[in-house]
Parts: sequence; structure tokens; C-alpha cells
Amino acid sequence: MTDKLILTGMPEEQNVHSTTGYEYIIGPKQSLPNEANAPYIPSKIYSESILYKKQQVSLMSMAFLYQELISQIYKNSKTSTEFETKLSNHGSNIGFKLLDLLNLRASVPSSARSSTFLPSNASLTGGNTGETGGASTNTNTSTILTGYIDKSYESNESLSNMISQLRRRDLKIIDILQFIHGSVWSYLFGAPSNDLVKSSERENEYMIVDNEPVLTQFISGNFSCNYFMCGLIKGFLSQAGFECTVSPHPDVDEIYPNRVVYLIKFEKQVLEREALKFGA
Amino acid sequence: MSQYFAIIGKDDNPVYEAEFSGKLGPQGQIQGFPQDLKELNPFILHASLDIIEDLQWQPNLSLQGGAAGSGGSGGFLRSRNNTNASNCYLGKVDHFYGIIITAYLTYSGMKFVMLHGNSVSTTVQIDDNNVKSFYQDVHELYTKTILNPFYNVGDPISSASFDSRVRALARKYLGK
Amino acid sequence: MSTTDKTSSSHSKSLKIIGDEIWKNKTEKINAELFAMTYGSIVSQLCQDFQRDYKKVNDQLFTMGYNIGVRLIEDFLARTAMPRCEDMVRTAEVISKCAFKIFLNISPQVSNWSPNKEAFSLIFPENPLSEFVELPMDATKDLWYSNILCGVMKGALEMVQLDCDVYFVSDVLRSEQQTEIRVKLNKVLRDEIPIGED
Repeated sequence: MTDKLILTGMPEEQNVHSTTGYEYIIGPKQSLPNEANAPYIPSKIYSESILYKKQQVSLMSMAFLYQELISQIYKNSKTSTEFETKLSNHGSNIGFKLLDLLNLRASVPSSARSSTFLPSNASLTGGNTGETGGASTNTNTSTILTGYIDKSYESNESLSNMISQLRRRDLKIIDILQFIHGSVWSYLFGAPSNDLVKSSERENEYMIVDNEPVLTQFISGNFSCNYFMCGLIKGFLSQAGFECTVSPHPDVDEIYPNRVVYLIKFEKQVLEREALKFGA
Repeated sequence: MSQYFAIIGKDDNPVYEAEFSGKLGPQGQIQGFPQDLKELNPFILHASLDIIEDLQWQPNLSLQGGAAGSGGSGGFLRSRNNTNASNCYLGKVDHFYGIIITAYLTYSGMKFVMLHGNSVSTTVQIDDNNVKSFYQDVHELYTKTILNPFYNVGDPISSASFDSRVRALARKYLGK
Repeated sequence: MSTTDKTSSSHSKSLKIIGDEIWKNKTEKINAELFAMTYGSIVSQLCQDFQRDYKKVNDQLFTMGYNIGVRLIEDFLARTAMPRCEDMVRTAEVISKCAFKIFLNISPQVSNWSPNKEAFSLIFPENPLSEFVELPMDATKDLWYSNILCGVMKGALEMVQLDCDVYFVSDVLRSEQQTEIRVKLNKVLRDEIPIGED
């Protein structure tokens, strides 16, 4: 493909094209037929695949980063509400992203997934994981050599090429909650959450239970540090059209001294819509 | 055939717009939308947003005539008992004189909408499979866009890289 | 562990084995994308808070890293039981083969040694912090997106009596050829804790 040629001369090439994106004030630009062979504008994010590569870092790295985030927010917050809101917003940022990302990934048939997934440590330097991964390993090697993402990602690892049928958009509360309890939790922490419960007293309340919250296990004494996950759940749900508030509640015993219940309260209009579309 | 494509945010704000035009005409002119109609494109598109919002929460969406039928003219949506079919691609949702409007919803409720038109006012034919593939590939590009920590959901997508890739997809799937 | 009678290449080889072994068998792990997205959220929030004054963002990221580094070194020493490094050559290898391996599952290359062997570069073929990132146009000149790494190294090295300058030289996020961090030894701090500090 012509893209590869472009990539080597990247810095100059990028300047030439740098102002040709969509401009809100001007409105739509027209594609002309004589642009038929116009090259892609080089880009790191658009040429990287979003296939799940199962890469990991040390839990301690995450714990250190999380602790530092907490202490910065704590220092800069005047009230506990401000602290909770700020921490929650960080979680929401991630929830927004996971909604499309994880649904798209869940649409890839598992057969295609296993054959294209890289071994979890394939991208290490020196490791001779060579022959195992076929095309994807090649791409990986060239990444190491050039220090930059090779364009062959573009054709080989487009997610949509592997998807014949997209996962359905979740329309019911219970469906999207199950996706969070199962897929989102497994993606984040390696296993589904410990429980998903519907409140018996209030119709709009649901609970996700985590016996051993991963992120806050090294932080003692401040329960509101769980607001990050609250924000993540809220961001995911709200962006999908299930507006809600989420708050953490302790539910500790001798076995699980850190157990947290994430209480999800859906807005009235969400329940009304569901009643209307699916019958109460 | 020409297309006017837009990504519409939650507050009905355009996040991205582009116009794609097909082959050159017999006199070498660009076959886009007729100039007088072109100005109307955003309005025609916006008029269909209510329909899309209604379809968004419809329990049993599926394409009449089916996306499988190649070269179909894009049937209107009907409620049907097909619980496995994807409900991201809505197919043809509206029409306006010779123009057909198709739509697609991301998991985050962003509306991808497209006007398919002709320079002459005969009704256009659309190929559901190609249109669906276009949307699906743009959905993946959109997902990459929102993964960037510097992008805030709902902001206009001004990246030239995004733009060039969307146009390449239009040539691939719609440039017939 | 006696190291004086071995060549430097076998040093680094055994360090690689130690690092790999600890990563593989003794390290609890978490999704690298969650880590990257959390860091991304922190950086973009700082850019907002400081109204896109990217130099201030760099400083803040460095400070956060420093705070992490002074704590992280204890965890590192406890898990590796690493003896004191005799020189910067050894230190560089430990940082690359053990520290980065254990915490981020990467091993940046050590290169560009200064003639006096007191300054070196770490070259990062990959960087788990910058997954899915594209810098805004106005940030490509001043922002060092992953500057927290410099702070971490600064803080950790200081705790083992190495007063160093640690700074970014280049970053592929800015369309530069490679991602490079420079580590330069200023002086070896004396072991004694000054009177009045504890």
C-alpha cells in the first residue's frame, strides 16, 4: 500500500496536510473524484489496531498511580463532595470509552479473536515469539524495529473486517447491567463482579457487589476512594442512554473487610421508557 | 451518486460532516448534490433525527427486505421478531423527494446519518451491505477517536487523519 | 550475589532473567489499558486545570512521579532483594531489565552513554502510558506526555543516594523518531542522614 511510503517521511508529510480536517464553522467539505488516490494522513491512533492484545502492567504500578491521583484530588478539593465528583469524573472518562470499545470487541467472533490475539507478552523486546502469531506477530516485530506503528495494522487488524454481526445495542436495564457485571468487570479485573442485585424495595435501584475491590485495596480508611469505579459505571450507563447516579456503600464482614456495593439509581425517564417499549 | 454524511451528537450537534461525490459527469463536471438542494442537506438530515431517536429504543428492529439482499433499495424498518440481528444499522429511515436517508447508531448513542442523492431527481438505489460496512468502519474510527484522552465526547472531530480515512471508506464502499 | 568477577554482558543477562522471573511469577497484574486510560484522564484533566500551559503540566506530572518514585523504590527493593549498584552502568541495567520490566512489562534499551559513564539514555520502543494517545496540535511542542516516568525515576534514584537529572529528549507522540529519556548523574549523595532530618 502507498501508506507505507508516506510513513517514513512522516514529519514533513504531516505538516502539508495538517489543516485539512473537518472544521465546524465551515461545514462539510466535498470529496472530489480526483482525490481517489489521496493517501491517509499518518496517525498513530488511527493506524493502531483496537483489537484486545491482553497487555498487562503490574498491579502495583496501577496502585501507585491511583494513590497519587487520590492524594492530588484530595489536596485540591475543599469539600468531600468536590473530592467525590472529581474522582468520579475520571472514572466516567473511562466508562465513556469502554462503552463503544468493549461492545465492538464483543462483536468479534471468539474464533477470530483467539487466532488473532497476541500472546500477552508478545511485544517484549528480545522475546522470540516469532512463528506463533502469523500476520499479527509480523506487525509487532516491525513496531519494535521502527519504533513506530506499522501501517499494515490498518488492513490486517481492522476490527470491522472480523465482525459479521455487531453485538446488539442494549436497550434494557438488565441487559446493560449484565454486560457491566460480566464483560466490563472481566475486562478490567479478570473476573465478573461478585453479584448483581435488584433492589426489592425500590424499582429503580440495582447493586453491583465487589467483595475485594482491586483499586482501593491499598488505600485504608477512606471509603469515598471508590468513587472512581462509581464514575466508570455511571459514565458507561449514562452514555448508553441509561441516566443514573452511582454511589459506593460498605458491606464489610470478617472475610471481606473491603467489600463495596455500588448502588445504581436510574433516573425516572429510563424506567418510563422501558415500561413504554417493553411493557411494565 | 453523492452522499452527505454527518455524525450527530446527543444534543443534535454536528460532530463531523463530509460530502462525497461520485464519478465525473459526461461533461467532466462533478456530480454532487444540485447546488440549490445542497444548502438544504443539513435541514433534511436534522428532520430525520426524531425518527432515529424513536427507532433507537425499538425492541425488535430489523430491516425489511433484509440487509442480506444485495442491491436492495433499503427497506424501511419494521418491527419484527428477530432478536439476534444487530440494531446499530437502522437502514433507510426516511426519504425526501429523490433523496434517501440512512442511519446508524453507536453504542454511545451517536447518530451516523447519510443523505444519498443524485444530481437528477430520480430516486437513488442504495446497497445496504455497502452502506452498513461503511458505517461500521466509521464506527471503529470513531471509537479510536474517543479513546484519545484529549478528545472530549461531543466536540467536533477536526483531525485530518480521521477525515482522510472516512473519505477513503466512502470511496471504498460508496463510490460506485 | 558476587558480581565483580563477571563481565558486564552476563550481568545484564542475569538481570534480565531476574526481571523476567519476577514479572512472570511474583507480580500481580492488571489490564494495561485501564492503566493507560487512567493516566490519560489525569493528563488531560491537568491540561484543562492549567489552561493548556503545558510546561506546568510537565512539572505537575513530574511531581506526581517523584511522589510515586520515593515509595515505589521500597516495593522494588523488597521484591528484588537487589544489592546496591556499584556504578551507573549497573544502575542503568537494573532500571531497564528489572524495574521497567517488573512495573510496566517493558525493557527500554540503554544507550548513548556519556564518555564518563555517568549519563545514559533509555529508548522506549513501546510505552504503555501512551496507548491510544494523539497529542493536540498545540501540545506537540511543549508537552511531555509521559513525564511522570521521569519523576518516578528521579524520586526512586534519590532514595538510593543517586542525585540525577531525568528528562525527556524526544517522544514518538511528537512525531519524533524515538522515545528517549536521559538520565544524568549529578552526584552520589552521602549515606548519612543530615542532622535534624529523619
